[in-house]
Amino acid sequence: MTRTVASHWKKTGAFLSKYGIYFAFLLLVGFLAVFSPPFLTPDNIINVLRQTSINGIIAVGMTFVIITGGIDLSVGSVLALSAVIAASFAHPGAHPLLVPVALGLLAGLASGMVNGVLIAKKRLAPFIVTLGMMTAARGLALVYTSGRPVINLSNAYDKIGGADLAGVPLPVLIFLMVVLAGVFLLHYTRFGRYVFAVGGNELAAKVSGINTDRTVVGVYALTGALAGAAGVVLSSRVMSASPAIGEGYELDAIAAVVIGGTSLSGGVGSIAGSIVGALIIGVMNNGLDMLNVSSYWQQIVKGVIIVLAVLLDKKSKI
Amino acid sequence: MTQWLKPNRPGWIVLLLAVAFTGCKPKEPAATGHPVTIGVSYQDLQNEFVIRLQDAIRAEAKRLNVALVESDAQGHAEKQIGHVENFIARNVDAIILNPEDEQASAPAMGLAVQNHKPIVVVNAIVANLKKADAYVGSPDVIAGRMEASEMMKILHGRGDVVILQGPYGHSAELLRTKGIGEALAKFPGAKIVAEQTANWDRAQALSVMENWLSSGREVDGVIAQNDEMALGALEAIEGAGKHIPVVGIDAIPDALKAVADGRLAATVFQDAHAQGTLAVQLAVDLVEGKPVKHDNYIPFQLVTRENVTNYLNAIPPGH
Repeated sequence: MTRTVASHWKKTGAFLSKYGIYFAFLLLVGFLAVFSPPFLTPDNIINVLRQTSINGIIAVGMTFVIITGGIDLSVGSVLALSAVIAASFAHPGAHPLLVPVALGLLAGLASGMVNGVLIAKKRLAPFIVTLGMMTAARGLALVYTSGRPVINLSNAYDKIGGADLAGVPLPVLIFLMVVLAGVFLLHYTRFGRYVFAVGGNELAAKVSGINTDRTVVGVYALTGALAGAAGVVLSSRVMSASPAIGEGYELDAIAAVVIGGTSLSGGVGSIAGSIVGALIIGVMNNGLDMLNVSSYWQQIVKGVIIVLAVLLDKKSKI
Repeated sequence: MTQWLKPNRPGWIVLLLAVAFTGCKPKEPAATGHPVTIGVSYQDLQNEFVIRLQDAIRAEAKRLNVALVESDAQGHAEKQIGHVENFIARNVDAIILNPEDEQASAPAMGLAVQNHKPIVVVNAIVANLKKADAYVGSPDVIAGRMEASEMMKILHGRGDVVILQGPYGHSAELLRTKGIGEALAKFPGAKIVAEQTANWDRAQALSVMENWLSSGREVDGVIAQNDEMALGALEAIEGAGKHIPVVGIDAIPDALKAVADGRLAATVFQDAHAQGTLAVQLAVDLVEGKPVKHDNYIPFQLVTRENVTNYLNAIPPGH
């Protein structure tokens, strides 16, 4: 009898260890559903998804970077640079929609490639390289706009962030597509295996014939392009592109990835975890606003929940 | 003395002239030859209003043939003390301080006063404002009072309003909150049902407003402490298919267009051009030793659909 109970608990433990973060998420949702009934209405669920989409898109890229054992602090600034470049080509009647979108993505991709090349070929620490890019890209966005927000955007451009398809907002669909593509790339392709290999043991990966440099450049380029995509979506949502947009977004993305169980030392992680991490942050922001919790307290609650979520995840793994 | 160090006759003349000139260094720097140099410390050149202030300061400096040394605190008040130190080291004739924070920018002002540099405070206030030689600005309390009174006019003196605030502790946030409170206190039928900071940011205001709307709370009006947040709230309201009046402050070009289109109920115009221009004039007057008034208030102006065309015409090209 005691043996079955013990093995039962062991099984539960194993189950928890795999899904700890998902339980934390459900706990949070349950709590908010009880204390703020409108929280679980379809409208509000759409709301949370839409608000999470920007951080979610960035977090997918950040997951790749952190699995290689790196970090990308430049995503918030790269988002701003892409947003102002894209928006400046999106005035009514100026260019077809493809031009601003493509330029926004390209600006992100190029910034990411610069990061990747400096990290892979020049062997510089990712923290330093992306810190430099964070400062320089923000400066470029300010120079490009003379510090003023880019306004007067075309209706077509506004649709990217404003339209919906069968009740689902376009930003959420874009987010979903990015997630699916990310899951495929990370878990079902050779590139994905290389990403884990580089993060696990870069030397061993190199010796076994993996082109680690190309993998690292690819990872940062991908993250840059996704930050660019987030910039296009966000500027469309707020119908303007301020050079100050996206400040601090890098920390939200890193928080989402870490809450999601990806190790900052590399080699371990999943897209699904990061998405749940991003959702936890999104649900918190939404729920605390709905409960009308003062911003002072919101910051304390968020800080505690971030650490608690990771603690729960870690504890269940022992 | 070796031969080559001994001055020849023209050498002696040059030497004597040099001594004579250093002895009677001109006391009037503003006269001919020496142009006046003014050091300007801005609170944050990523803020559109501050950029407009800079445009005005530069234009007036050019007109009066004044040289500028400009520094940007990028939203960090603690940097302003370093700016003033540099201005003193560069021996500028006067300083214009656009303080970021009422308390944290005060030491920068104190340092200028200690070193006997004429100082003009522009736009925002500092705790030790009395020590400044002059202040140019528009009292934020009045802006808050103005937008809240306009909201009450729209709502006929009663209703549930929400407030989108600037960064907590920022002097403009504190004073506008105070003004809004004063105006609403006159209407017993008015109630503040929620207030939250969106840090002057459009995207953040959009999320906060969406969350308020989906909490099922009835909102009759939105009072935003700047236009960026007002436009973010408007986006959320229109996205939800609702019609709720929104008011803002600053009269940025985007907001003026929204007022003209009948989307934004009202905004409050703060005259960056008049503030910047007068600040430079006062600084030059101080250098030239002319008497100046300590408090120089530039009035706020309420912008609604009726008078918005006057302001739209003033939008600089490129917007």
